[in-house]
Amino acid sequence: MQAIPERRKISPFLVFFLIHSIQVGGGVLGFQRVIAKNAGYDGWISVIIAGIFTHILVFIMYVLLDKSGGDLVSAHTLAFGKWIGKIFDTVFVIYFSLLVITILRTYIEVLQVWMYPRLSTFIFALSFFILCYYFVRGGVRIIAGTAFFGTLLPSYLLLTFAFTFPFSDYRNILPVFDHSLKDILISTKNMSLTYLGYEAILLLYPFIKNAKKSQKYAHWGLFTTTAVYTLIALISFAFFSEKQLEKTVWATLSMWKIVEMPFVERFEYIGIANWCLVILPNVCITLWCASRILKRMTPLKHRHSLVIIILICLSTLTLFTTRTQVNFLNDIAGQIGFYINFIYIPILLVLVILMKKVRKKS
Amino acid sequence: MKKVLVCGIAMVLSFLSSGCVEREILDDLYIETGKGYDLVEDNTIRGTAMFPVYKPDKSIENMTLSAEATSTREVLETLARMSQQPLVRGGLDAVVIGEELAKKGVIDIADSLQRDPSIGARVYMMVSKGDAREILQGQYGIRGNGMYISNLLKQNIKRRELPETNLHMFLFDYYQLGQTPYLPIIRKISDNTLKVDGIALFHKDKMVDTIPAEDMFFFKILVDKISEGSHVVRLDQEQKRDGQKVEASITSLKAKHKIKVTYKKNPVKVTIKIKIKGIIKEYTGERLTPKKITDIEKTMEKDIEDKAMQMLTKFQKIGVDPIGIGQIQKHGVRGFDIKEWESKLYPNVQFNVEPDVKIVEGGTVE
Repeated sequence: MQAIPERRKISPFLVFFLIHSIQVGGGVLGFQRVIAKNAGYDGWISVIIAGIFTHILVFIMYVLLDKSGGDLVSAHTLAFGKWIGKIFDTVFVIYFSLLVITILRTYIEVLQVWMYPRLSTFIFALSFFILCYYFVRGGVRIIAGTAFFGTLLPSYLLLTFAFTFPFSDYRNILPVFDHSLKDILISTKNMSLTYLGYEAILLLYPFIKNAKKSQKYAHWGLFTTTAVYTLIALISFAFFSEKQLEKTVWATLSMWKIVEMPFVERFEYIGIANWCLVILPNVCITLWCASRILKRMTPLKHRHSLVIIILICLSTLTLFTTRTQVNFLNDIAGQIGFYINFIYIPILLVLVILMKKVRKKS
Repeated sequence: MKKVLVCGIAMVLSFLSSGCVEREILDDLYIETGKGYDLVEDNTIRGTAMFPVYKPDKSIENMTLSAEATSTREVLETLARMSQQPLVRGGLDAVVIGEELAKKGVIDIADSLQRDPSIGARVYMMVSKGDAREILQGQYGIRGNGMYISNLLKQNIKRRELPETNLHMFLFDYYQLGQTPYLPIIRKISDNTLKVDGIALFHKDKMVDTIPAEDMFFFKILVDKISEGSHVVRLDQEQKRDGQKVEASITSLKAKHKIKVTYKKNPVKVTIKIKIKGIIKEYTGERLTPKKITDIEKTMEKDIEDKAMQMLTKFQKIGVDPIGIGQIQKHGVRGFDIKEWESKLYPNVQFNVEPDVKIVEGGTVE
């Protein structure tokens, strides 16, 4: 791998924003129902447990990156050799493209259900991708910039949940541990899907100055995400009764229905429009990851690999039209992400360590 | 050059995408502010949509459209077909349900309101004495009927004896295990006046009983976290020269309740502590001495205890739980069994009400 020139690298603290903004995406709008399905109102425990798991995984990823001395592609080459490595690279290209599709399609679905039923998926996705192309072409520094603003600017939205407090009953979460450990763990697995995205660090790593030092910031990013998710889970558990939450697809958005301000009748419209800023870095980072792997495994230029990925995503995206299909898309992306993170990455670490030893001997 | 091109394409696209959603001009819409549902025959529901029409001289005329159909959803469609301009529900303030329909169940209506993303969670639902259409067809106030009804309820919730209520709270109570919902009752007095006239108690989604307007003060103390309101105390021992009883009107500034439940079974004991801070607004006796004030406090405490106990035992008998005793029990018990609670435990709960009234001021004269 060529060394990345210093001027294209980012400061380690920006990893905080990159990690945090890629984790917070469409999932925040409706994860409550998913975790309450099995663990009921003990679901917030699952949120915390799943958060702890993300810390462990990011720790493993940093060890992996340190050992392989580069990014995911170099780790694959080290573990499997040039050609088999490429097969696994392709899996990741597909996975990241799938994430792009999932994030954007879910957001468009929200737009269509809540604001504009007649919004064309294709036109919106096309204009969004052109914007993303512009950012991703700018390189990691620009993407980190969008992540920075995509975290800070919409952060005021957290304050709007204060409107729910007069109607909230925090005793709803009592008694704690009313569900079996098994139920809580199933919810933990479902929750871990909402946390996905931090594996982008596998490709961002070579672009960070003092990359080893950035680990601290990565963990802070994960911690902030866990805190935000736990907070939102607790607020919505207090606001909805259990059976009511079961029926609510986008609990976070439904909570905004109670917001009342003299100058705005329906706050969801402002919230959803603002959410575009949260989605933007999300799509940018995943797009960049997918095109970066494609660039590294083929002789293509980054510009071309990016266009290819965008065209694939755009054409696939419009195929999903109904609620069930979008749900299916989310499930598939989540499942694949789960197995990649929790099973494949640890195995890869073991292989890299083994192969390093083998190569040293020979 | 390339950047200019990209910018150009992006701009063209943003114009295109703004064209792909439908434009809605306020003047060309009927913005529904009120909605009414009545039961006409056994299986026929009449829906009424009310919307303001703004006239050139700045006055507002309230128009209504009514249609009959077999289900609430069909009613909506028929109404839309009858309307000259598109009906939109984004500005809905009040949903009035006729008493007869309320007795048959209201969850279909609540569900359709909840499902529509353009409807807020603060919409007021209410039950009407008599026809809901009658209520919507009046001309109240100068700011339109929807505004009038929602202001009427808002004012009564904030300052008077109506407990806090809205669409979200109704649904919360409906779906919560160990709690039953309630809604305000509204009555038409004349063609331009409405009145809050008690509270409708629901079992599941069917109206089963009512609380009369004069008992709403006690009901509100029991269900709301913090409440205001007023109550008239009659002192029995004292009589004025003309033989009438001495009365004192007490306005409670702040009433709080604490509900303690012994989670053990057989029987579950519930203690409700009520703390009220109030001022005397009116007094028909001769002098208001400190001793009299203690008398008034005592009498009011007794009133509260009697009324609250009477209400609570009635709730047990008809199987409603607007206070949410079951919910509190659920918070303290692992593996809460709602069926056992409803059939065996709740009817046998032993209630104990402990009011504590404190009168802090007696007005500007002694």
